[in-house]
Amino acid sequence: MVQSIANRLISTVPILFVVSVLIFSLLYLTPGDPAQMIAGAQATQDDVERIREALGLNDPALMRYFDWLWDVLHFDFGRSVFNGRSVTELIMQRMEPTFSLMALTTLFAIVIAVPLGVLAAWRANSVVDRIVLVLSIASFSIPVFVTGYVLAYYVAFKTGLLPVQGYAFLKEGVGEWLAHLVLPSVSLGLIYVALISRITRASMLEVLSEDYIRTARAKGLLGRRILFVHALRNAANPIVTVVGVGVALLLGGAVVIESVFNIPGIGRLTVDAILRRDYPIIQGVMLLFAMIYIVVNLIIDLLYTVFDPRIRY
Amino acid sequence: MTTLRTAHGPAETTPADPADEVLSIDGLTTSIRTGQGDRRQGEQRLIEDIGFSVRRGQTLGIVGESGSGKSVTALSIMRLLPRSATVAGRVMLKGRNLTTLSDRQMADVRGDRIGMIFQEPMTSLNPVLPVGLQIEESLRRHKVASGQAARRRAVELLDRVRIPNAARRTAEYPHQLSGGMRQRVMIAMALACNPELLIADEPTTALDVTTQAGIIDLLKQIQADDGTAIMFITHDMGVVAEVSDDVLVMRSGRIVEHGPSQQIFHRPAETYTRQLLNSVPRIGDMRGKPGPAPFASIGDDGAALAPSPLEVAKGPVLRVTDLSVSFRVRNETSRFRRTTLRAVRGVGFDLRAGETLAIVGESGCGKSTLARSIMGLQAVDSGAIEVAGRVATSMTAAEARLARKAIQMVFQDPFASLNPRLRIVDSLTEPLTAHGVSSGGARATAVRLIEEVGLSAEMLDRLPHQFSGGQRQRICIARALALEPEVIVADEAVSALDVSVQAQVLNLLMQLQARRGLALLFISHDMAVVERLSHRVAVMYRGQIVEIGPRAAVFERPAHAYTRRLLSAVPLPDPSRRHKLSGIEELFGTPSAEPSTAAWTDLGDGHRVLAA
Repeated sequence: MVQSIANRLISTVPILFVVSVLIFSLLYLTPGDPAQMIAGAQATQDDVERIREALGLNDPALMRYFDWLWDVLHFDFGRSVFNGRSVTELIMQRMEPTFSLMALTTLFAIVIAVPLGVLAAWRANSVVDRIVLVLSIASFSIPVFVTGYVLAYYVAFKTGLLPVQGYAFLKEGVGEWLAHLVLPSVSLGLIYVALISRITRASMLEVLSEDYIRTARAKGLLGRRILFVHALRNAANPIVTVVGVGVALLLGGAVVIESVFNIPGIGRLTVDAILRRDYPIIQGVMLLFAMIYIVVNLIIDLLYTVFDPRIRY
Repeated sequence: MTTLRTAHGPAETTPADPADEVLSIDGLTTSIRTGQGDRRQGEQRLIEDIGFSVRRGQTLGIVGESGSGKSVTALSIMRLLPRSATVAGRVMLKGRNLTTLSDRQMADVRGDRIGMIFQEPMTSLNPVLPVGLQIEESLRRHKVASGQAARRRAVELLDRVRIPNAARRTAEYPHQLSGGMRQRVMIAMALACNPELLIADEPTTALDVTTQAGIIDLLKQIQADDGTAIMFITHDMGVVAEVSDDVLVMRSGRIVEHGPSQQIFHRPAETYTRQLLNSVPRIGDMRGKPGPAPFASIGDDGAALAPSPLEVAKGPVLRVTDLSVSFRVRNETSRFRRTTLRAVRGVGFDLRAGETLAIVGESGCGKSTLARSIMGLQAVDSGAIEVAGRVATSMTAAEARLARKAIQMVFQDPFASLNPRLRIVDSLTEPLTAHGVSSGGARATAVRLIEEVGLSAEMLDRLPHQFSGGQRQRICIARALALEPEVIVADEAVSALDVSVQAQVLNLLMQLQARRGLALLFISHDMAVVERLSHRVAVMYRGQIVEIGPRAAVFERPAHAYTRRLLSAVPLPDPSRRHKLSGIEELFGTPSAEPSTAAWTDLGDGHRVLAA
C-alpha cells in the first residue's frame, strides 16, 4: 500500500510540470500585450512599462518561467494585480467555504444515491425502479441555479428554518456552518445523486447476475447482506470512478452555487479574477484545481485496490 | 410465488427405512414466464413431473445433455430460480415441504439443511472477499458458530477438504487459489453447517481429470463420514458411473429412466439411455484398431464416412523445433520481483498432411500457449516453426501473413469466438476479403463452405445467437477452412459441447480431413476423444512434451509416469470398474522452473519418452 502510494505520487511530478508550463504560458497565450491589458485603456506608456517591469516581462521567457516556478514552489503566486494582496493569502481565505461545500455535496450525493441505486437494481423494472428513474431524469434536467433559488425561496425564505444565503466559518460553530451549507449542498448535489444512482443501478444489475451472488443465496444469506456485502463491493469501482469525476466537476458547479447563495468561496474569487484579468490569481487557482484533481484521482486509484484485492499497482 | 399441486399420488415406495429418506420429490414441475413486461405472456415448461427420493448416505446421479433440466431441478429444490419461474409439486426435506415455506424460512434452510456446489469455482466464489470470511458467514448466518469459534471452524473445514496450510489460507482471496482449491473451498462452504443434503451441480466439469479425481474422492470420504445424501448432477457418464448409487436420466425436462447405477449402465431399458451411453467415447475402445474411427452419435449412424487410414506421403506440413515461450509474471511471494514463467520448454514435433496429432495435458501445461505460438499470436523466445515449408518464425510480416493462410484455428468457445453483431456470411467472407478476394467471389465461397459443414446457404444472413453451440462450431470450422489451409489447429474445439453434438462435430472434422487432406493439431484434455480421433499423441506436462508416439503405443504402453497418471484418472462409464481414487492426488504448488536436462528414450516406431 505504502509502495503504491509512493509510486502514484512520483508519477504526479511530470503531470504537475506540464500543468505549470501551461499555466505559465496562459499569460502569453492571450492576445495582445498583457501589461497593456492589465494597465487598461487609460494608462500611460510609463504605467505599462512599470507593470511590464514588475511582472518581469522584459526577461527571457525561460528565465521568467524558472523564477515563477521557484516562487510557486514556495507557495508564492505573486500579488493580485487588482488590489495588490498576496494571491496565496486570498486563496487560503476562500478555501474553507469551497471545500466545505464540495465535501458536504459529495457526502450528500453518495449517501442518497448509492442506496437509491441499490434499491433500483434490486427491484429492477418495478415501480420503485421507475420512480427512481423519473427522479433522476428530473434532477438531470433542472439547472443548478433554478434548484438553488427555488430551495432558497421555499425552504429558507418562506419558513425561515435555514439562512437564505451567506456562509458561516467553522470557527463560528458547526451548527451555523451546517445550516448555511445545507441548501447549497442539496441544490448542487441533486444532479450527482441522479448520476451516481444511475451508475450504481447499472453496476449492481451486472453484479447481481453473477454466479457468486447465486452462491451467496445458496448459503441462505439474506437480502441486505447479499446486496451490501457481496454485490456492492463488486459493483464499487464504476461508482468510485463516477464519484471521483463528479468531485472534479463540482468545482464548476460550485462557482454558480456560490453566486446564488452568496458564499465567499474560490468560485467567486475565480470569476472575479477572470473578469478583471487578474492573472496571478487565475494562475494560482488553476494550479490549486490541478492539484485537487490529481489528489482525487490518487484517492480513486487507492479505493480501487481497497474494494478489489485483485487490483495492484 | 409458489403454488402447491398434489395431483400425483405418493412416490413409489423405497425398500429402505423411510426415516432414512432425506429428500423426496413428487410431481415437481417448473415453468417460466416468457415475453417481457405486461404483454401477452406465454409459459414455458422447463421440467415436468419430476419425482425421486434420496436417502441418507446415498448418491443420486442426475445425467442429461444441456437443456435437459438437470440444473433447473436443483435450482427448483433450492428455490433459487428467478422470480418469473413458478414451481409446482412437492419437495419434502425430512418431512418438511419446501415449496410451501416463506421466502425467509427457505433462506434458513439453504446453506443450513441443504448445501450446494456449483460448476464454475472461478466465478462461484466472491472475488473481493477472503475465502475464510465466505465460509464463516455461513456459520454465523445459521448460528452454528460465532466470533472466534466461527474462525476456528472455518480453518477446520478448510483442513477437512484437504487444503494445505488451512490457517493461512483463510485470509486469501479466490484469485490466489487454483481451480481445484477453489472447488474445495466451495465444498467447505457447502458443508459448513453439516447439511443433510448436498447438491453438486457439475462440480468437476471445469476441472482437470486428476483434480476431478481428487474432488470425487473427497466427496465420497465426506459422505462416508457424515452420511450426507448427495445429488450429483453431471453430463459426464464416466463421473456418474464413478459416484452414483442410483442414476436418473433426464431429457427435455422429463425423467427418461431411473434406477440403480448397475442397471442403468448394464441393462438400460430406454433407447435414449442406450444412445447416450453409446455416444460416450471410452478409453480402451480403440484397442487393436489401426486408425481413427468415427464417433457414434444420437440420431446419426456415424458411419457416413469412415476416415481412411493415414497415407504418409509427403514431408511434414508443420514442423516445430525446440520451441520455447516464457512470460514475465508477478511473483506471488514478493510483490516487487517478477519471475519468468517458462510456459513452453523445448517443444518439437512434425505434423504431416492428413494426420491428426493430439496434444494432451492438464490446464497450465502450456498446450494453449503452444497453439497460440504456432498461430503467430504469441511471441516466442527461441525455436523454429515451419508451416508448409516456410519458416514462420524468421519471416517478414508480409510472408508471415501468407504462411498464416496455410494454418487456421478453431477455438474452444463457439459462443465467444463469433462476433455477435456480424452476420454469418460476414464472418465467413472476412478472411477471404482480407486476403484480397472480391466480395462476389467470397460470397460464393461462403455458400460452398457452409454447405460443406452441413448447414444450409439460407442461414448465411443470420446472426450467431440464432444458432446452437454445435452449429456455431460448424461455422467456426467453415471460417477456418475459408482460406484453404493445410493445417487446422483445434484448441479444445469440442469441450464446450454436449456429447452427441461433440460426436457430430468431430465426425465432421474427420470427414473434412479425409476429403481435403488436412493436417489436424488437436489440443484436448479429453483422453477418450483423443484416443478415437488421433493418429499420434503428444503428452505435455509443465511446458514440455514428456511422451510422443503413435496413438496405440501411448495409450496401450504409456511409458511416462505422468501419462499413466493421466490415463488412470479418467473415470470410466462403468460402475463396476470404479477407481481406487485415493492414489490419485491433485498436485499442489506451481511448476518448478528448473530446466530439464533429462534425455529422450526411443521406444521404436516413433514412440519416444522423456526420462523423468
